[in-house]
Amino acid sequence: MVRGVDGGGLCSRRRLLQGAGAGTAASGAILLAGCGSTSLRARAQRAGPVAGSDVELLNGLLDLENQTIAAYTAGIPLLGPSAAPAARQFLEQELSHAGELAGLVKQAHAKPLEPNPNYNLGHPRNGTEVLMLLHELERRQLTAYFQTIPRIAGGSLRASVATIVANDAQHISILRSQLGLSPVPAAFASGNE
Amino acid sequence: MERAFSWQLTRREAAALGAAAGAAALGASTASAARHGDGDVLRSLLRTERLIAFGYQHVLGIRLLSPGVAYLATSFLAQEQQHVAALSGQAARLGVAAPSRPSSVASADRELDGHDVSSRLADLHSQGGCVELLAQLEMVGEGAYFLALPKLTDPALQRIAAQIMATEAQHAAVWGGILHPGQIRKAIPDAFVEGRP
Repeated sequence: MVRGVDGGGLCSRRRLLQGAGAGTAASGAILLAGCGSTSLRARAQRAGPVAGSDVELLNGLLDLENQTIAAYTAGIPLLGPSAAPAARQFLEQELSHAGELAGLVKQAHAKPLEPNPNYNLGHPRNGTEVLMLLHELERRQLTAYFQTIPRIAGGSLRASVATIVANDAQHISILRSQLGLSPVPAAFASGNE
Repeated sequence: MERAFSWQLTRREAAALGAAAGAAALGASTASAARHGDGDVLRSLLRTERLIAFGYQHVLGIRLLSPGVAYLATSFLAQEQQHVAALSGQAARLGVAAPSRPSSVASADRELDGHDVSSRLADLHSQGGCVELLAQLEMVGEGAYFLALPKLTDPALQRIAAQIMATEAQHAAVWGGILHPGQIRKAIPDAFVEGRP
């Protein structure tokens, strides 16, 4: 259940997923969508061995991805025709990110964090407030990723994780443009912009 | 009966001290090698950043951009110059000489020959061509940082590299949006940004 976006009531995630339109119906298919030409499994293998010390870090990032996915899923129905297509694309990409992170945790023979049954997303009442929520969540992801990357043990894994935050930074640029803000406000993306 | 205190080390104690001294020396040489490795990586990244900045300066100089697009390019050039400044400072800290910027359009285009880039600075005749070049330069930047991240050993440099890579990706996304208005799947096609070699 995803709390909040439709005026405070609880919403079935399945109903929201159906309402969010094409590309969000089946999470299994979505996990492979939007990841370019390389399958998630190949990407996970290319990231190299995942140290036990990296598992908690990756699960921390996965937790944030799951929250952001919930926000996109719940918020897309409130977005207008100019913002909704980008949000759907970003939702697909966030699902790919979550799939990648989960796959990496499994590679370390550990258990990926499951999404929470509900998230407190506040009560966005219109498209602008949804965009502001999504912007905030993407910023939190950036902050967490940049703090985490130097702590990751494996070099290849570090680079793989960096490809995710670079895409999240792109989401922020478009969300900022849709909010009438400068798309790239800083020379060093940080999540504090 | 207590053992008399003696300065003479047992054979085991001597071996342990030698091992510790060797480990310290290895640690110092490992640290030195790491700094040397980071220095080489920084030099390569600086070469790429200088090429990108040169590309922006050239595009702005030939005045094919509309005012709005030129404004964006000017803003992004300033950010690229901040990247150059930051990396130059880190390189100086490691005692590494920074590479010089391309000396001409021809030399910049020769550098582009080594990358998966179809555009050339000498062959720009429209705003679209200019924006395509800038987008490709940003993707070269993304690729440089993607390759650098596994090699960098200093956590502070790893963080800076990831942040700059993300900013280059943002630049590429903005140019992608201008090249493909209303087509978000073309503007931001990949969930995992690796750039171009």
